[in-house]
Amino acid sequence: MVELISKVEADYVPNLTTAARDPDVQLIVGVGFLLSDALAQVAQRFPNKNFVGIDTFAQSIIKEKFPAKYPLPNLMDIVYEEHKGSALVGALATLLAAHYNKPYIGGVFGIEIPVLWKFEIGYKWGARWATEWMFKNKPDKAFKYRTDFVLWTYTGTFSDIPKGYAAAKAMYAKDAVAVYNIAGPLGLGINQAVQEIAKARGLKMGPPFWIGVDANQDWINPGFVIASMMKRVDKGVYYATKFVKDGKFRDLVKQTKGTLVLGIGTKVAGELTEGISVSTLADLDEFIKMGQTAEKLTGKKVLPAPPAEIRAKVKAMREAQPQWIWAAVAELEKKIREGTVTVPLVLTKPDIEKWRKELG
Amino acid sequence: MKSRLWLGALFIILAALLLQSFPYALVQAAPKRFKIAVVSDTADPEAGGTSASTTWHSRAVRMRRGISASRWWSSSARWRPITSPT
Repeated sequence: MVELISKVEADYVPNLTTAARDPDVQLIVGVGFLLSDALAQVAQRFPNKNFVGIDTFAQSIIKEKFPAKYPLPNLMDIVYEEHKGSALVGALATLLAAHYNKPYIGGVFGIEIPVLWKFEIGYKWGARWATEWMFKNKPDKAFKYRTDFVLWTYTGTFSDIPKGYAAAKAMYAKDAVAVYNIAGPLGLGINQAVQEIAKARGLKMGPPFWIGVDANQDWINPGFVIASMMKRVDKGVYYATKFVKDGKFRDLVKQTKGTLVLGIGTKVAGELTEGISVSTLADLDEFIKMGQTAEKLTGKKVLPAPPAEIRAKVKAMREAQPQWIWAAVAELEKKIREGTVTVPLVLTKPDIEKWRKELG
Repeated sequence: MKSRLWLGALFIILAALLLQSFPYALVQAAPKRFKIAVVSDTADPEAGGTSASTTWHSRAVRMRRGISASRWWSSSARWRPITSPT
C-alpha cells in the first residue's frame, strides 16, 4: 500500500494521477469530501483503474456534468448512516440518566450543517425511544421525554477545542449524565471538562461520561468515555479492496449507481457490509493495537496508560452499569437492523425544524 | 493488392476496437501485484480541514437531493463559509 498525503488542495489531482500511473495499483482510495472533484476528474482519465472515495460525492458530479457517463464504472463513493449510530448512543445516554437519576443528556456539535442534523436528530430520537422502552420494560426508572431533555450546542467550529470545553462544562454544570461529541477534536475539550469534575470529586469513573465519535475514543480517558459511535472508514476501504480482489467492483458500481452506503444492517449483493456501530471491548483492543503500532512507528507516546490498564478500566466502567441498559441498546440495534424501527434521516431545513419541534 | 490493403485496414480497425475494450480485462487477468494507493485530503483539524471537509459533505447531500449548493448556502442564516484549508 502506498499513501500520498495532500498538503494543499492543488495536490489532489497530481496525487491521484501519480497513484493511477503506478502499474501495480488497482485501487485508489481518496479519503474525504474535498477529493470529490479530483476523483471525478482523474477516474475518467484512467478507466482501467478503480477509484473509491470515502464521504465523497464524485458520482453526483459525474451525473451533473457528464450525465452520459453516469455512473462511471470505475468509481465508487462510500457514505455512512451516522443517524442510526447516533440513535444508539442517544438511547444509551438516556438509560444512564434514568439509572443515575440525572436530568439531562448533552451533545456538543460543530458547525450547523445537514450532516450534523443526521447526528442531532438521531441522538434525540434514540433518547425518546429509550424513555418509551423504560415505560414498557423498566417502569420504576421510566420518565416522560421532555423537549428540554437533550442539551445541545452548535459551537460553529470543528477546531476550536476551548469552545467544546465551554459548551460541555455548561452541560455538566446542569448535571448532564453524558455529553456526545459531534465535533471531532472538540471531544478533547469535552474530556477536559470531565477531567476537571473527576479531579474535584476524586472520581475514578463516570458519571459524568462523554461519548466518542468516528473512531473508538474510549481509550482517551478510560472510565469516563462510556462508548463511541464508530464510523468505520477502515471497513469501507476493506470492502472496496475485497470487491476489487473478487472482481465484483464494477458490477457493484452498476448495481449501486456508484454509491455504497454503510451503516447498521446494510447489505451489498446479499452480503452484510456494515460501517456504523457502538464501540465494544473488542473494538477497544483493536484500537489499542493501532495505538501500539503508532508508538512503534513514530517513537512517540500515544496511549495514555499501559494497554492492560486501559482495558481493565474500560471493562470495569462498562460492568459497573446495569445489564438492562446494555440489553436495551442491543434491542434497539436489533430493531434498526431488522427494520422494525426507522431512525429519521434529516437533511433539510424544513425537516430539522419539524423534528426540533417534536424532540426539542 | 487492393484487397490486401483493405484486409490490412480492417485488421487495424478490429485491433483498435479490441484494444479499446480490452485493457481492463487484461489488467484484471494478469495483475503483477495487488497494490492500493490512499490519497488523503487536507483535513487537518488544526488547519480547519475537518470543518471544510464537513462543509463539502453538506454540499454533497444537497446535490444528491437535486438541490443546488448555492440555494442551500443562501437558505441558511446560520451558515458561515469555511475557507479552504491552508
